[in-house]
Amino acid sequence: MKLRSLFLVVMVSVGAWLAPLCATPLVMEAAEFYRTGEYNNALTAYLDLNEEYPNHPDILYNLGNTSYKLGKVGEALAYYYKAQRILPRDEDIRTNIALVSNQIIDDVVGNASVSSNSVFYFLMWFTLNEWLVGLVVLLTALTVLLWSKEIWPTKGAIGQGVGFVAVVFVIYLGFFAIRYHQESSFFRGVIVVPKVQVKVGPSESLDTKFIIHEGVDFEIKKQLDGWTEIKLSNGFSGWVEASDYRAI
Amino acid sequence: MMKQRLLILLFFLQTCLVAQSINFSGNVNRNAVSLGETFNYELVISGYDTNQVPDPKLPDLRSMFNIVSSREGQSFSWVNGAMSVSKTKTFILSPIKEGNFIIPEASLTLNGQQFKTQPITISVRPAAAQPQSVASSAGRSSAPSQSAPSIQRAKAGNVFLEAEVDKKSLYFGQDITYVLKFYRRVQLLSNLSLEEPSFQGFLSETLEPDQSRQVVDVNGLRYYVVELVKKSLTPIQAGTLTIDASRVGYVINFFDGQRVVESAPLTIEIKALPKENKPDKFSGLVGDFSISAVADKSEVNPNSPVSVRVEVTGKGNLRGLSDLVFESSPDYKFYKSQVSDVQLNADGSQTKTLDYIYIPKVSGKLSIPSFELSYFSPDTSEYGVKKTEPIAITSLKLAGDVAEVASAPVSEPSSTASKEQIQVIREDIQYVRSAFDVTDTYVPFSKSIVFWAFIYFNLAALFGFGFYKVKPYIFKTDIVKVKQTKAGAAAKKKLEKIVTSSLATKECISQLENVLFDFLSDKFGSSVRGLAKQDLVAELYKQNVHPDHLKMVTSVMDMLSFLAYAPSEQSQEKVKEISKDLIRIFEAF
Repeated sequence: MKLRSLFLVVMVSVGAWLAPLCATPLVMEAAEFYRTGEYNNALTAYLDLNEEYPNHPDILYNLGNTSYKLGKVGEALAYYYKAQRILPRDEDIRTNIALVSNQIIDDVVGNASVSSNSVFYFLMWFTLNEWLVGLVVLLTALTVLLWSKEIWPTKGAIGQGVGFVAVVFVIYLGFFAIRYHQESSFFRGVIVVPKVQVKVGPSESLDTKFIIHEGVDFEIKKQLDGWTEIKLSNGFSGWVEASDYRAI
Repeated sequence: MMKQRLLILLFFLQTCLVAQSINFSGNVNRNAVSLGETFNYELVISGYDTNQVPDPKLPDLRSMFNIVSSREGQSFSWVNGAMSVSKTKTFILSPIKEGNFIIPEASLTLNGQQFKTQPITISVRPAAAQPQSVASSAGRSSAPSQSAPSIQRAKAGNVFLEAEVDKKSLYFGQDITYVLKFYRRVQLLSNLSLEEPSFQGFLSETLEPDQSRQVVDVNGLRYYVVELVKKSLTPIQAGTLTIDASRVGYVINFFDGQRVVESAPLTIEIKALPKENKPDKFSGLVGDFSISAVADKSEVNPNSPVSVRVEVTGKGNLRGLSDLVFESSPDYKFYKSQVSDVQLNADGSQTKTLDYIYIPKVSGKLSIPSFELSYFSPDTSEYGVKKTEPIAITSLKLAGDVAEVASAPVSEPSSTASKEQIQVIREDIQYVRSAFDVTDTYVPFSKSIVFWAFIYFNLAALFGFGFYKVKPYIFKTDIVKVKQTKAGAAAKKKLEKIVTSSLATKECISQLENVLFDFLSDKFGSSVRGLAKQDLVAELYKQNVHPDHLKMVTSVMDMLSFLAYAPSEQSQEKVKEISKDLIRIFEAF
């Protein structure tokens, strides 16, 4: 019985170790499909990989590329934005977003101030994981310094260090709270169909408020019966069907 | 097979989207017309890219109306970054008979889905137009037909009516101006009443008549003249057409009642346009025109719109002009944005403005193509074509990285070697990634044990630190109690330290005295240090100390006082004895 259990554990471990190695040929196969212009096959392969290894930035990036090659501007941008959340400073992703965004018909420009934009970009420049690591490091430093001050009360440098780290920690905590709020309560989406009539309310029979096209991204406000209230960066808001967009 | 299914599915989805996003409606500009008049019947398709939508199917109108002409227009608007397209087919209908008619629903079938307009009711009145009152110096009156005993047509007498056109022979599509003038030599008692002809065979547009009263000389007699009617007429059929007489009723005095005067009918010769040398894309315009175009910018990003305004000016009927001919290319897209109404210029010519949106699809040096206008000139009796000059546009390069770069061509060496700019032939997205570890997926750090271990460790450490700092304040009131309970143990510890130390006897005695006083202070919650023996006894007595214990304390105190002045040899032994006595005191209290 013990032997069987041991065998099972060994097999599972070996399987877990081999899984990525087995996936590598699929990555190569998908890349080959892409290289030869068989974008539909490449998309299928990358979607399989995405299902197996969700939230992988390179797979998401490749899905964005393949979608773009298939003329799906909205889908491509949705995948790029997802990849960018994991790798916010990746040059390739930023370049492709800029290039694909040129295909968007609508010119939706917000009126956010330069300072608020700078803060936003600073916050988004780092992933939530990076912000969490920073939080842990600062918290640990503060803890160590506090106890050090108690143990060696005569060393003035430690006291100054405590004050400095405490101030930095408090400021950092404020930024972290905003960043965490953005991550947890601020949801965005991208239009993935060629044209969407944005309604004044959650019903097809209601009036069309304005029309937007594929690739436009927006903030998701609320959802109701298969309809979603959206808000564009220029302040326009309305309702679209959930099937018309992909959440980022 | 799978591919085919996918394609069919994509096609189905696309067509469904197209079908869902169009609106189809029908309307008329008026619901009541007279025989001989015309009205506009419009079918409007709006929403999706209307180029993909087939032509609507008209209902059978032959039993009720003649289709005089039709035209098609497309409008394009760019509002808040959203493009909206609508296509309008306008039919000019002329009723055949009088009565009330219903224009049945027009239909449009798109990908199996049928769209229908609402039926429209049209009331057709008899050909004799309803009399209209027109302003005159004499006031207003009723229709002439009700009480006109005799009709005067001669260009003589005190009152007469004259209808005139600026041309009696013209080409099909050419405009003429019809003016009806009222001449009088006498004062009128009431308003004029007017009955216009039907202008059958013409499209008529009412112009503003000259309301000023003029005095003219006719056959040596002075007449006051006023323009009653002014119309621009466009023939809708070739041949000889007749404009019937106009009639005006007037009253000079109460005794004669209303009299009627009418103009002579006019015969107009409409010549058909020659078929020889007729351009393929003939606009239908007759007259002499010029055309010009201007763009609102010369530099633009790919896929960003450029507004192009084209102005057509000339003498002729510009009303029918709804679109111009231009060359199409995959490098750009053209949309018609807006067509303005015809504007009359001071020199009698007309101007019509057509706005287009030009969207470059590639980057580089491009040009907005020429707009072409073909027309027939009645002066030369020949067809003509006018074109705008191409407008140079620079479609800026995209702000992306260079994907493929063409090397600079190798040129022959010359004395003034000039360097050529490297040109981007085509930009593309960055390539896919093929070498990566698939297991390196994004896992939120907040879900890892390490993160929470750090957090809990730090929080525990901080909490501990806080507790350590706050503890003395929290337990402040219990210190006395703690000291009381632990006074004996603490004193014993101190005593042990003193006994085992190598202190001098005198100092040792002093320390023992301190230990005793500290013990008593802790025990009773108030300092007894520095008290004289009597005061200490009194304090202990106050604290209800047992007399035996009190005796023990006084004994030890006496001993300590004695030893303070005794020789050191004796003192060392006594110290040990005192220590034992003190231990007894600590245990007894």
